[in-house]
Amino acid sequence: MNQIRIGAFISQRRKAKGLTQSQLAEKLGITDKAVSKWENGRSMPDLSLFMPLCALLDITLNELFAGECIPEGKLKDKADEVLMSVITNWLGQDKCESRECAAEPQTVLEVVNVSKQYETVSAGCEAENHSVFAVNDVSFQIPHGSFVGIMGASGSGKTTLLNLIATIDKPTNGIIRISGQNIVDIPEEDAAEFRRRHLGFIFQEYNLLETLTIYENIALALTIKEISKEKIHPMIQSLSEKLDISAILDKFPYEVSGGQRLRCACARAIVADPDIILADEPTGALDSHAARQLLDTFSILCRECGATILMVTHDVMAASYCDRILFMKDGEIRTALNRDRKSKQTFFADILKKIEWMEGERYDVFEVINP
Amino acid sequence: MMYLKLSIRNARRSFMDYLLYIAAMTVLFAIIEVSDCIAVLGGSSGFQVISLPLLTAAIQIVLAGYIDSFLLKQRAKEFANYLLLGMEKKKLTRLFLCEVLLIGFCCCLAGTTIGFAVYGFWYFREPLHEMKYYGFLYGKSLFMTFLFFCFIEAVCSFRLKWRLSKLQIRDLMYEKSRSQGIMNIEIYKKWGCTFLFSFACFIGCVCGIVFLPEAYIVYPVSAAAIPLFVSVFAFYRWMFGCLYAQRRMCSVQIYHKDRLYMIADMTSNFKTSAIVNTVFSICLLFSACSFITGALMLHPEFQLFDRAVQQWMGTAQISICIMFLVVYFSILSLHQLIELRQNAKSNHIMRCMGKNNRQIERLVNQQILIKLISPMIMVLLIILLCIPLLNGKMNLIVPASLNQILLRLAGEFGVCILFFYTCYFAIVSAMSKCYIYPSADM
Repeated sequence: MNQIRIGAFISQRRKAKGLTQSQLAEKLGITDKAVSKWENGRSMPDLSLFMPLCALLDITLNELFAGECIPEGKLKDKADEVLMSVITNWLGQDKCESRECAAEPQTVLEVVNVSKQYETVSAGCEAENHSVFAVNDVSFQIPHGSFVGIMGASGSGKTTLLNLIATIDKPTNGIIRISGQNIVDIPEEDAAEFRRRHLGFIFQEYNLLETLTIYENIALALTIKEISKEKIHPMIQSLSEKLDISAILDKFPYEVSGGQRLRCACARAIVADPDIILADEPTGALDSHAARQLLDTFSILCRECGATILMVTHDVMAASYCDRILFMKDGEIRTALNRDRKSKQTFFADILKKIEWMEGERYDVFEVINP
Repeated sequence: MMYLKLSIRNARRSFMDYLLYIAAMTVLFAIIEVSDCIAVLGGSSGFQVISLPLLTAAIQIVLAGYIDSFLLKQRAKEFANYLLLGMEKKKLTRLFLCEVLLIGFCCCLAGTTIGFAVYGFWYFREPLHEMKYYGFLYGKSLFMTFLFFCFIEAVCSFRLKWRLSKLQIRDLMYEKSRSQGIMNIEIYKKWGCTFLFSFACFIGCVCGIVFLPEAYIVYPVSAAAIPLFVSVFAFYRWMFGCLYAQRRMCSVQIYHKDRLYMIADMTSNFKTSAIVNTVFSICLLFSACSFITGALMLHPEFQLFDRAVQQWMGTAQISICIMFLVVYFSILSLHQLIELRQNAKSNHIMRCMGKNNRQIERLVNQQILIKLISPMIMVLLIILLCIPLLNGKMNLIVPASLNQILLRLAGEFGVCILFFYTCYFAIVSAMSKCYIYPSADM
């Protein structure tokens, strides 16, 4: 879908109908500025305005998305073309690239038979102790440079597993190795040192320090990692250009959009070159456009910076960007799905099938996409 | 009536946010009440001491303004939600002012009760002071404190109303996380020049007091306060402005260890910080003056007035000194604790970024240390420069046995400050631990 082309088409049809921008805006109950923005290709009409706009300009929805009038004979081909472009726009451009190399990739994270048991005391006449396995005998490996997702419903244990890997919590049993080092029994002080050297975090609520600018938030991660102060500026400049946040470096977190804040959180996580980045539901608070931008950023980090990402999510669209997905239910990994060379659309469909299989019931696709 | 009920409910729900306001207002009203008692008794003994409650009221207006802004920040999102739900801004303003007035009135009641109880107990325990004055003292001081309450609340309400009227819903949404900034970061240099000039004027006044013939001393004495206040304010504007400029210019020097975090913490609201530091600095200066005057009056070899009068004045001055020290340390400590409670999330972020608990504890202790010490910087500078000069002059006036008396008293005041500082630092540091170590709900 070419926004500029659609804008030019709206302008052309409006003029053909003898309407001014103000008249069109008045008929649609919006401002002149909004119409001007559509025509300049700076924005698209809202979903609710598509049909009234088409009716006013005397065009079909297909013609609006194609950005041209479609002759009767080409209607079917063009309609398919438009539908494909809409789907591609929704799921994003397929950038699946082969990352095969001659040598076997090094394992960054190794989780072996990890369990986390919580004791709960039930209130009542006689207090009873119950033990619940939030994570139960989980094992998997993540090679260097891969983008792995953990999917599961709320309460399936995915965030608990992430906290165990993040050294924020201790497992009851099992071994977790990051870059060959077992992190299970390390004391709190060494765990902090370990987090500083080997881990990067991205949270759903951004977790940026509000008193610092975007630049300073990224710089803080580097000062904590004791990077030489002369190297900080060039490192931030180069990364911010890669993540397209150069223009907002001087702003405070509250002055930028949610998507930009998350890209800043990505920059902070990646800037000190950690062994693995742990992302907890990063797209949870974003609209679909910002979520796609963020996931594209993750792909860039994997592809260009060689980052290894472990992302917890319940969003199928976000999961379709991963190389591999682990499906959790009741604290266990029930199954896994590798993307291999599949296109994003095929992988998306495979994830839905897998979820359907796990739940043992038919899923309404739109319910999964918009839970 | 509905607003009153809603105000009471909201005030109860936001108790933690109001704690700073309640404590500061209660302590300050207690001090105003004590000052009024001193003024009433001083007036009946032929002394004019009304400037004391006036000065306290001026300090309270500045501090109440600062705490009001703090409260507004805490509750800005809630107010934005009220407006989104359809409440008119006028009604919202009335609601907030109602809350503030209600709490202010309760603080005034509590403050006057505490203030009068403390002063009354201290004053009437002397058998010479007759109890028949009890009613007269209570009635007159209470009336004066009530007048001050009305004046302070009127000024604060007007300021709050003006501030709320300027804020739109979007501003309210982001009010809590908003940092203060300026377009021209170079302006701190002008403040630096203002500081140097006004401080030179102040030192000039002190030199005038020391070196001019007795007939002319009255001029520098009456003029010294103006350059003093200007230089204190200009110094803090310059200091915070300079740190802010270093941040904005991304100076390499600040990207080392914890400097960036500390400087950001100090300069996020640097204009307000400058005002607050000025007020506390003046509180401390006032306290130092009261201590030295009181100790001199109580000194057996220092004869200026009748012994009993001198005794009364000395005790009054020492109590004023202690009151201002309590105000200084209590409000700063409480504010620091509330800030720490609100910054608990920052500690969690720092922990994820690789700081261990001990490092975070050290960082928090550094923050407490700096916040408690920063208003002292100017006081120290003034004392270091002025006391030796004035001590020389005093040596010429007082008997030989009182030689170096000012240096000795300044040293004693220093010890007193050190004692208060250590106690309050230890308390705040101990209490801050619950916001440093991870809890189950983090």
